[in-house]
Amino acid sequence: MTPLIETRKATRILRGEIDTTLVRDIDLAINPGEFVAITGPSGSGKSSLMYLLGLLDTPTSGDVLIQGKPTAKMDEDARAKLRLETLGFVFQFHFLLAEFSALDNVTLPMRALGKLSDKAMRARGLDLLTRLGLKDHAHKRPDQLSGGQRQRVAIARALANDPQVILADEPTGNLDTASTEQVFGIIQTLVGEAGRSVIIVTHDPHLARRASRRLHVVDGQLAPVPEDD
Amino acid sequence: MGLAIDIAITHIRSRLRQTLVGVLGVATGVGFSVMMASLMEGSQRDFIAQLVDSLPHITISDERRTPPPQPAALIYDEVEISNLSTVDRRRGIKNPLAVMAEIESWAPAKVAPSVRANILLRQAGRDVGAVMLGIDPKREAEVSNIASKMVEGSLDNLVKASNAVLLGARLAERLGIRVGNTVTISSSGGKTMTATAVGIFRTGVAQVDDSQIYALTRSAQVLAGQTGLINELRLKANDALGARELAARVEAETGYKAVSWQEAHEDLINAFNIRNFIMYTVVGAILLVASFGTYNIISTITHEKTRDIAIMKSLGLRAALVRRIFVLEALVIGLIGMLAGFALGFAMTKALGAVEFRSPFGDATRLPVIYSPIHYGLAGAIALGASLIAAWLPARKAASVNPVEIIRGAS
Ligand SMILES: Nc1ncnc2c1ncn2[C@@H]1O[C@H](COP(=O)(O)OP(=O)(O)OP(=O)(O)O)[C@@H](O)[C@H]1O
Ligand SMILES: [Mg+2]
Repeated sequence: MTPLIETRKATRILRGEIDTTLVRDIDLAINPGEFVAITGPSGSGKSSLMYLLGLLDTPTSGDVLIQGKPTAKMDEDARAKLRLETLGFVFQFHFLLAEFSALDNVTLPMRALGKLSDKAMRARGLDLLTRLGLKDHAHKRPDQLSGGQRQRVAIARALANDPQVILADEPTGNLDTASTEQVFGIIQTLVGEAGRSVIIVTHDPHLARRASRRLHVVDGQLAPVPEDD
Repeated sequence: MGLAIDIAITHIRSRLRQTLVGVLGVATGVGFSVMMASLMEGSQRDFIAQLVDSLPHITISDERRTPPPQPAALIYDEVEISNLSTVDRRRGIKNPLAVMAEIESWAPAKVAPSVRANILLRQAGRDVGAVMLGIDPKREAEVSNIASKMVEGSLDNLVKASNAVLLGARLAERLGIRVGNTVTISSSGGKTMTATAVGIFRTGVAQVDDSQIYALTRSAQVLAGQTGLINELRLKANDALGARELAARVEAETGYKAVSWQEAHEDLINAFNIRNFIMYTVVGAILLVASFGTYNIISTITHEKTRDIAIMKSLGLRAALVRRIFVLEALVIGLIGMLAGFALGFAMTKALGAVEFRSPFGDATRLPVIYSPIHYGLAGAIALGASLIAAWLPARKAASVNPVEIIRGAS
């Protein structure tokens, strides 16, 4: 079975007056249907790793393979296409377009892909929002929604093109316990649907324990998961 | 494409006031360019029309540009004869009727024969040099509009009295001559005649009104001392602007010097060319300045929307689409500005064209403006092109935003 995402000695160094190593020699593989939690101290390089896995960033050396395809040497447009078709990203901060309604935010990736008719996109967008409990908020703009609602819109948007992998970087970081539980519950139910994989970064050991596998990052490198967690 | 348009419209809406300023900038630029072009070209055409109407398009004279080849030079290659002048033994165009018939057989033009003689006009003890044009009134009507320029008397009066003359208005004023007065005319050859003023004309071309008098061919021939003399043929071409080419052909076919009105007024044509060059430079500068506004707006929007651009790119929207968004925005501003500019330019041209002012000749005239689609097309094309260029730099910069850098900074 080909892993959905695989890294080969992926290293990312930020060039500057002083070079900063964000992540070093990462070797990992994410298989279909897996629910992976990434933990680690603040500043350890979790987000940096997620950007590499999500093809938002390019490794300085090594490679990231998506469904077996090496991506390090792809041009910008090819990587954008892969992002659009196979990856869905949820950021710590929701990152919705402020002037677009919830529904328009959700249909944006579909329109960029251009595979469905306008009507079908609308229907699918409404369906996703309904599944995330936002049926009555589809036409509100982000500033008219609560933090948890916004994060759910962002999840709906990440699901828009039915991606193989959902990458979520601390999606519940800004939410209260109830909202966290709700958002996490949704993410958990996504796993297993159509062999989809979920990779989630979290500080919360309780949440991390609910994942099927855990990865721990320390100083930009994979490390054994601490015993007491 | 639909997506890019939607996002572009959203951006424009969020920056409505600034967009309006940009549109106004382009509109003002286009409007003034159009107005200026129609006024400049209108006045130029008006001036040339006046000139072309009152002067013959081509004047064929009995001179030659180069001296005739000498028999010796024709026979012996080595012979070189210098310092030749172009004097003919007998003046005048030989067999003028045949030459006229030949020209009229192929040229899209009308020809009239005339006698040109330098004369001295004497009235109340004053002498003024002038040019007498001996004409055939019937044929003259075909090559000049002198008949319509008469302010007193008429062209036909020439045949009603013996030794009748028509005088240019300024010349008549200078000498205090009225219709019915007699004047003494003497030629450079010493011949003198008493003539009666039967009409006064005003063409508006100072040179003509100041120093020209018309008489019958016969009178001019008497003054020139040569019966049957025709020393000038004047042509009115169907196409005045093609006179230069026609003149060259006439000269080649007849051997006589044929001067087109363009050649006769080379300095004027040059002045117009310089004027047009200045005009187009100014128009270009106006439109360029207008496009700075567009650059400013697109720049501001791209800065303001950096976060949105990062979001869109992180989702997988291609750089080309991001670029298209901002180019479209500039195009919308340029297009609306252009249309508003057309309306503004048309209105201003109309208003200018309606302004009446008194000309020194007494009759009220309006500013000569013309309405040419070329002016609108040119101003519009430059405005749109400038908008596109103005958008290109910020759009390219926006599209090259690396989403990770923005997201790293924001979270
Ligand atoms: N633009 C930058 N310039 C220099 N160093 C940076 C930059 N961005 C990140 N870093 C450094 O890279 C390291 C990894 O950052 P990263 O955001 O991946 O950590 P993280 O594990 O996601 O932390 P957190 O849990 O706080 O979100 C940090 O030590 C950070 O200081
Ligand atoms: Mg982080």
